[in-house]
Parts: sequence; C-alpha cells; structure tokens
Amino acid sequence: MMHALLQTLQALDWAILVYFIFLNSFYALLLILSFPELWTHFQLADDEYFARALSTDALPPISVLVPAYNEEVSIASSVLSFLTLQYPRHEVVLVNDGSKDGTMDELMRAYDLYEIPPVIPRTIPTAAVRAVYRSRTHSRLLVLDKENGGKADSLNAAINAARFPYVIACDADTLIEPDALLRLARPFLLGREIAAVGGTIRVVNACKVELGRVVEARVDRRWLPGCQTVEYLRAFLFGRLGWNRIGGNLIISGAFGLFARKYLLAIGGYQTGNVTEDMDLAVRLHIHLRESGIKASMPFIPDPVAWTEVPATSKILHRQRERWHRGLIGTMWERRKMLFNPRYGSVGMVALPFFTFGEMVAPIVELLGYLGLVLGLVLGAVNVPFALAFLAVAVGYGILLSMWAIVLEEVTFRRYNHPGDLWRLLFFALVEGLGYRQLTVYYRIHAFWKVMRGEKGWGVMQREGFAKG
Amino acid sequence: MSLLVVLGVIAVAQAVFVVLLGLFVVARRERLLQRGRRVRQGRARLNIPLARWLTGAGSLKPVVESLSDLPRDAALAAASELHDVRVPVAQRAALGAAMRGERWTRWALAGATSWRWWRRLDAARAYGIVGTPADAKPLEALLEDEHPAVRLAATEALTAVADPALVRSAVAFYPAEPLAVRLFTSNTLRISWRLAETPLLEFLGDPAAEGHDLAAWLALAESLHLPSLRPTITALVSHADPEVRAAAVRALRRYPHAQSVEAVRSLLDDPQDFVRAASAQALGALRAAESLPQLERGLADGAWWVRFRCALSLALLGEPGRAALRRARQSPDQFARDMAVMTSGLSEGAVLELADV
Repeated sequence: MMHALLQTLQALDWAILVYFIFLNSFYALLLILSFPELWTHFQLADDEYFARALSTDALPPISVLVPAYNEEVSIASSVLSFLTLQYPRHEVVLVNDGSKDGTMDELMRAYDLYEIPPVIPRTIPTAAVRAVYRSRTHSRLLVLDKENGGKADSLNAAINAARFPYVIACDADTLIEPDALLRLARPFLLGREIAAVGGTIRVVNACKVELGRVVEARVDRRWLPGCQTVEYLRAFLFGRLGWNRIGGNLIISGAFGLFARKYLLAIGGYQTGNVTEDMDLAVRLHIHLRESGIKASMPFIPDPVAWTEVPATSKILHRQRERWHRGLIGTMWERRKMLFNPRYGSVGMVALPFFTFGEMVAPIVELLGYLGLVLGLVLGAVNVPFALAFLAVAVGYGILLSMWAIVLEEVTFRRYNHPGDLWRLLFFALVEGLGYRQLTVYYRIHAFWKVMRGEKGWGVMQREGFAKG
Repeated sequence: MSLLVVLGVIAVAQAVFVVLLGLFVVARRERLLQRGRRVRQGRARLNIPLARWLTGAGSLKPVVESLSDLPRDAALAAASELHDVRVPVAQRAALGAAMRGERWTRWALAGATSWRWWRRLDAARAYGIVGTPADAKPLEALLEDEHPAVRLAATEALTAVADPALVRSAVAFYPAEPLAVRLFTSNTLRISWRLAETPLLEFLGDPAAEGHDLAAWLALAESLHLPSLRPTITALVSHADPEVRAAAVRALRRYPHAQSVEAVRSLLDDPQDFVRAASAQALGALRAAESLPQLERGLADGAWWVRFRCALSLALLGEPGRAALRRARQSPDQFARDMAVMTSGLSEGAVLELADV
C-alpha cells in the first residue's frame, strides 16, 4: 500500500515537473514573441507623423458603448469623460440597464435629455427598450433606457443603436485616457482589415483622478492592488502581445475593446448567459472569421490605456477571480470541439489548447503539487533539497517574468514616473509569488467547485472610488 | 550532473538575472532622467537664436549649432518640429540647406537603406527637412517602402524634393495606400498642387479606371479643391459605379457652383441609398435652398441614413428648412414624423456637428 502511494507520489512529481516545463516554456515563447511587437508599437506610438494623422478625419467614426447600472454618483462625469475623448468623430451610446437608483434622473439633469422616437433596429434581441433620448447640449450622446438585462444585454442594445461602423465597449467606471481611441485606431491607418482591437487595462486604485481622468499614475502601496498592478503589466505587456504574433488573441477586454460592428451583428452580439462575455465574444469572432473565410485580424495594442479599479480586499478579489475562471471553464467547455482542430488555425491548434491545459487546468495542477509536497513530507518520501530547489525555480521563474514585464514597461511607455513607484513595482514583483499567487489558485479552484454545483451568478463588485487629484 | 544540481544552477541563474534586470531598470530610469534634462535644456537654448533668425536679427548658424548639441534622435525630432510648425514655408529651404551637412542629418539619411524600418523612417523624416530635387532617387525608394509609416513620412518630403515624376507616381498609387498615407499625400499635394493637377485630371478622366480608384482620386480632388477639376468631377456624377457617384457628390461639397448643386440634386433619387444619403449631405453643405422640396420628400425615404441626412440638411438651410421640419412633425408618414421629432430638438451647433459638413 505504502509502496503504491510512494510510486503515485513520484509519478505525480514527474508529471508536475513536465507540466511546469511545458507551461513555462510557452510563457517564455510569448515573452520572446512580445519583444518585436512591443518595439514596433513603441516606435509607432512615438512617431509624430502618426500622431498628426491620428487627429484628423482620416479615421473611421466610432460609437462608444457604455452600459450603466446604478451609477448615479459617477454617471455625469463618466459620460463627460467619454464625450471629451480626443477623437475626430465619435458618439456615446449609453444604456441605462434598468438602474434602481437615480442614474436616469441624473443623466436627464446633466445632459438636458429629450425623448425621441425609438427608431432603432432590433437586430440583436434584447430586453425591452423603454425610451430613447438625445441631449440638447451634447449632440454626440444617445441614451437608451431599458429593462434590466445585464451587461451583455445592454451592450447588445447599444450595438443595435450605434450609428458607426466601429464600436468600443466600455464599462461606465472605466477611465479611458483622452488619446486612447486615437491610438486604438492605429491599425486602420496602416490599412489593415480589423475585426477587433484590444487595448491595455491598468490599475487605477492609487492613481490621482480628476474629472474622470487619471492625472498621476501611481502604484498602490497595499499588497493586493500592488500585486495586481504587476499582474496586469505581465498579462498585457507580454502575454497578449506575444499572442499577436501567434494570431490567437483570445481576450479583447470587456472594459476596453474596439470591434467592427458588422462582425458583432453577424455573430449575434454578446451572449447573455456567459459570466465572462469578453472572452466568449473573442472566441466566437474567431470562429466566424475562420468559417466565413474573412481575413480580418484581432490585434492587441499596448499603448492605448484604460484604467480600472481592481479589488482591494480578498473577499472581492475572490468573487472576481472565481467568476473569471468560471467563465474560462464555461467557454473552453463550450468550444471543446475546436481543440486541436486545424480548421480553426492557430486558435484551434495553439490558443485554445493553451487556455484549456495551461490557464484552466493550472490551478488544479498547482494544488496537486502543494498537496503532494505536504503528503511527501509527512511520509518522508520527499527529497527536501530537491523540493526546495524546485520551489526556488518555480517561484524564481514567476519573479523573472514579472521583472521582464517591468523592464518592458520601463523601456517603452513608462507610465509610473514617480521614483517610489518603480521600487514598489520591483517589490511586488518579488513578493507576488509568495501568498498572492496561492490565494488566486484557491479562488480558481473554487470556480471548479461552483461549476460542478451549476452556479451561474456574477457576484457584486464593490468599488472604493478614485483618489482626487 | 544530477537533477538537483541542474535545478540549483537554474535557481541561481534566475536570481542573478532578476538582480540584473532590477539594476537595469533603476539605472535606465536614472539615465533617462539625465537625458531628459539635457534635451529640455538644449531645446530651450534653441529658442533665442531661432527667434533672432526668424526676425532677421541673427544668422542660422547658432540655430544649427544648438540642434547639433542635442542627441541625434532628439535633434531630428526638434528639427522636424521647427520645420513643420515653427518656421514659415518661405524660410524652410534655407533651414534645410543649413542642416544638410550636420552630423545628425548624415546619420539620419544614412538609414535610408537600413533593414530596420524605424531607421528608414528617420531617413524619410530627414528628407522632409533637408531634401532637394537631387534626392528624388532615394526618396522614390522610401515612397515605395513596405512599411506604411515610412511611406507616410516620405510623402512629406515631396514638397521639398518637388519632382514631377514622383508627384505623378504618388497620385497614381494614392488609391492603393492606407488612409494615413493618403491623408499625408493630400496634405502635401495641397502645397505642390501645381505638380498634382495634371496627373489628377488625367486619372479622373481615364475611362478605363476602376471604380474604387476613381473614388479615391475623387477624395483627393475633394481635398485639393482645384477649380480646374470641377467639370471632370461633375461628369463623374453619372458614372455607372455607385461608389464613384457617391464620391463625386462628396467631392462637389467643396465646389460651390450652380452646376455642382444641379448635379448633386440629380442623385437624390439614385437607386442606391448611400448615394442618396451622400447627396442629401452635400446639399446641406452647399446650402442649396432650391433643393428644399426634394429634401423634405427625402424625410420619408425608406433608408434611415437618407432620412437622417435630409433632416440635418434641412436644419442647415435656416428658417425655411426648420419650418419644413416642423411641418414634417405633423406628417402622416411615421418615418418623416419620427426623424423630424429627433432632429428638430437639436441646437444649431449640434446640427453642424452631426451634419459633418
């Protein structure tokens, strides 16, 4: 019995070691692939000719879609920040998703709204639209007041109402940098056929904010937001850029992503039952493009930035990460037929297998590793120096990847100019692997548990608000 | 070597690498701060000699010397800004000639044949500042570069180089270029319009030209608004390709003339809705009061965009147009009624903004 247990433990150790090597080799590949991408975008972002072209009417008009639910306190300034984005031609389509507070009254007051006939095609079915308003003071604002149907449903209503060929999906509480739309539109200037473009999301928690704009980027001193700042840098600066080269970008962030409206309409918009609607949408777009033989790309661009508040307490982080992972499991399960299917190109052959066997399964493998270690120590079956060396390599590799993300940030965009922030980033890169990482493993394991129990809710994301500039 | 030793070596190597990366980040931040200070001070030192030269109170030499004190890439950026923004067109050639032999200019021009596109971009930018008619050959290569950013910067040098063959080539390839390059080409050709006029007339009048190409050249004609082009554009209003008809009416917005209005009005009954919408928009832009009855009828068009453009153009026609919108609010046609309600609440400023004329 004991012999069989020890043999199982040994097999588990080897399996985890092999898994670790494969997964981290892939991360290293993403890192290497991100270098030329980042350099190209850095050069273009810095090019004054492009900057000048970006401020003209050479760009396609864009509809900014903003779903809002119970945003009474911040809605007026949020809308103003969207209306005053630097872009030659854009409209803001705000959808009040049956708010129970005074969101609609605040909008009526702040923007002098008047009701217009609801002449909007219902190309994508949504919950009933109660009324449509235009503003007497801001002609670029269109407001839809509809029955509550959730974020995806609101976005679908906004897609129906949008006038322009490209739409950008935003959260009402996301702070978009004034020139972010211009930067996001860069692929159009290069003459590329675009289905979607993703921008970078950064952590706003400790930043100074004035009238819906980040006036000073800062890194939070607190452990959870600080670790997430490094985590976001890593995910966006080399994770998604690396995927650009492979051609399988599976996530265009729901808080800040640009889409060609015609493709959204073709796939029926957002799925209302999915808890991570952004990933599901990106996968369905890939499917549509592949199956229709459309040669349109879905690149990620690092320099357009939107700022979002991340959970500052473990309770809220737990809800968020558990929901994200539940969404990942749901999407991967729903699209399992695409796995290793050459018909879907790099998405079927590389991206989906990585997200399934890398991202989705990783917390289970990591948990098994920890359990195996504890069990091995109890049974005296673990070679302690070997276990320590392996742990050092595993943690060290994570730190190394985080450090690279900071280096990439430093040699390119350098948003955190305060000297103290650089030290803080370095500090959080060092400590993230001890404690924070294990915490997120637990949250993601919890997602499997909830999936097995068939739970589907979103949970409430409580926010702290922004520091005033 | 046992697995334990391998893991140990990897762990130590990782630790060393992490420390090196940390040191690199900190050292680089410090170096950038120092460089930033040097560039700011260098650019500030430029202002006085520049003002003296621009007002005729000093020579160019101190301006060029101040630029040469900057790091090479900062010198190119500063020179580019001076050339494009701060120095009047009449004095640009003198500035370019004075900078031609400078170290940073030679460095930038040497990048014209580099395999790195950002070096070729620097070369294209430099030709925009110091280029002369003798630079037609290297500029031609940059205008045909594989990277749009390089082509975009190279188009700016067309004015300085002023070569008829290059301008003709730029007009010929205009339809195939991405939007940004087109934009820069049209900006440049507005200055070099004398060289662009003849080839553009030739291409617009080519009966064998593809519809897509003609639409692009019409957009260029709209941007240049040269009076000599108007009759040719007006003739294209009756082209078989709806894309060309729409581009022609859009271009005629910039050519106010009785014949333009007549031609645009004829397309308000076009079978294609996007042509009718473009026609309605152009009538508003031309403030064509005589088209009021047609625009009023257009409020009941089957296509939303046509109704929208007709309503906005009516609002642009002043009180008679507003009165037509008020009448339409009582119309038995629901399309016309809804559109009139939607647009008659808009202020003058909002109408101008939405009409996009």
